[in-house]
Amino acid sequence: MAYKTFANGFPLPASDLNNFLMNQSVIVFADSAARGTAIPSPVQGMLTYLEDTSSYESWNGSAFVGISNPGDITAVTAGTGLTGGGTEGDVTLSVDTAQFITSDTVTTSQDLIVADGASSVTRLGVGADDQVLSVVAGAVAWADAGGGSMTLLSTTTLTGSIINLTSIPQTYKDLRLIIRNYKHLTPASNRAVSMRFNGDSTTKYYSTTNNTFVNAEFSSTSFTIAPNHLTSISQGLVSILIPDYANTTTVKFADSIGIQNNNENEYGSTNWNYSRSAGFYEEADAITEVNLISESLDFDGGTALLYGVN
Amino acid sequence: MTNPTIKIVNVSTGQETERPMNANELSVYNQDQLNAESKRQAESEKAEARSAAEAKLLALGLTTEDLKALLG
Repeated sequence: MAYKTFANGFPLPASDLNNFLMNQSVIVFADSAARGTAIPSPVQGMLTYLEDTSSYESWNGSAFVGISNPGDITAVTAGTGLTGGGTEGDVTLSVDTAQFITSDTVTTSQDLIVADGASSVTRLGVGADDQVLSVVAGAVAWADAGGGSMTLLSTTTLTGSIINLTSIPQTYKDLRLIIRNYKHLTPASNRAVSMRFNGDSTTKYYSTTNNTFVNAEFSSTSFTIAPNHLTSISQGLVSILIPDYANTTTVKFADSIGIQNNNENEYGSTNWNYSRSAGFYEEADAITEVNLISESLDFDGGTALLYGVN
Repeated sequence: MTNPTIKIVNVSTGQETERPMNANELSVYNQDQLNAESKRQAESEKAEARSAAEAKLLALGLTTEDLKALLG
C-alpha cells in the first residue's frame, strides 16, 4: 500500500478512499470468517482486529498473521539458589546467598574454608611455617607435625681437639649428627674422629665395621665414628644416627655411614672410601652429651650439625 | 706449652666455650691419642701383612686384577 497526502480541493475518488484510508485502518470483525467474507482479496499490510480472539492480525501477502507476539512465557519462578520471579511485568531474579559460599567468607590470604555445621562454613586462617593440616579435638586445624620431623639443635664449627655437645634435650626419639667437610690440622696423614657419650672415658665402648654377630668386648674408651681422612681434603661427609638416646633401660649405640678421602689405599692410590661402622656403649644412661675427639692434634675446620629426630 | 683446647657447646642454650683442657681432660686425651696410634699401628701391620700376602700371590703368577677380583 502507498501513502498519499491530500490537499484542500483534491478530488476524492473511491479508489483513493479504499487505498489510502479503508485499507490502511484497523478493520474490526467478529471473527476471521466475517473478515474473509468482507475482504475476499486483502492487500499486504492490511490490519484487522478479531473480537473473538482479541487479536490483531495483518495480511502478509498470503495469510493473516498475529502481530502482538506476546510470547509463551507466563511466569518466571525462582529455582534452587534463586529468589524473586513473577508472572507479569519486569521480573527480577537474585542469587540466594544463603545457598552459596561467597567470597567474603575469607578475609586473609591463604585462608581455607571449612564447614562448621551441616550447612554453614567458616574461614580457617593459615597456620605457622611447617605446620600441617590436622584434626585437633575433632576439628580441622593447623598443627605441628606429629612425626617425621628433624629439628636442628646445634651447628658447631670443628676447632680444637675435642668437641663436647652438652645438655642435649631429651625430648626427641633419635639424634642425628652430620659431620661435613671435616679436616684435621696435623699431621698430614690420615686421621679419624672418635666418639664417646656423656664424657665417659672408661672402657665401655666397642666398635665394629662388619655386620656379623660377635661377642662385643667393651674394652675401648671411645669408638671411631668417622674413619681416616686426609688433612688436605675437606669434602668428607658422615651421617651418624643415635637411636632412642633418651631411654634409661638399654645400652646405646651410634650407627655411622660416610665417605671420606683416604690415601692409605692398599693399591697405593688415593681414592674415596665408603665407610660403614657402628659404635656401642655399655651403659643404660640417657645420652645427654656427645663427645667428638680428633685423633689428630686438632680439628681444622668442618661442621657438626646435631638434629633431634621425631 | 698450651694444652690442646676443648670446645663445649651447650645444645640447649647455644652457648659455646673453648678453653684449654684441664689436667684430667689432657690425661684422657693423651690416652686417646695413644690408643688411636695403637689402632693405626695395628691397621698398618694388618695392611702390611695383606700386602705381603698379595706379593706372594703375585709371585705365584696372579695379576693385580686377579687380586682385586679375589680380595675385593
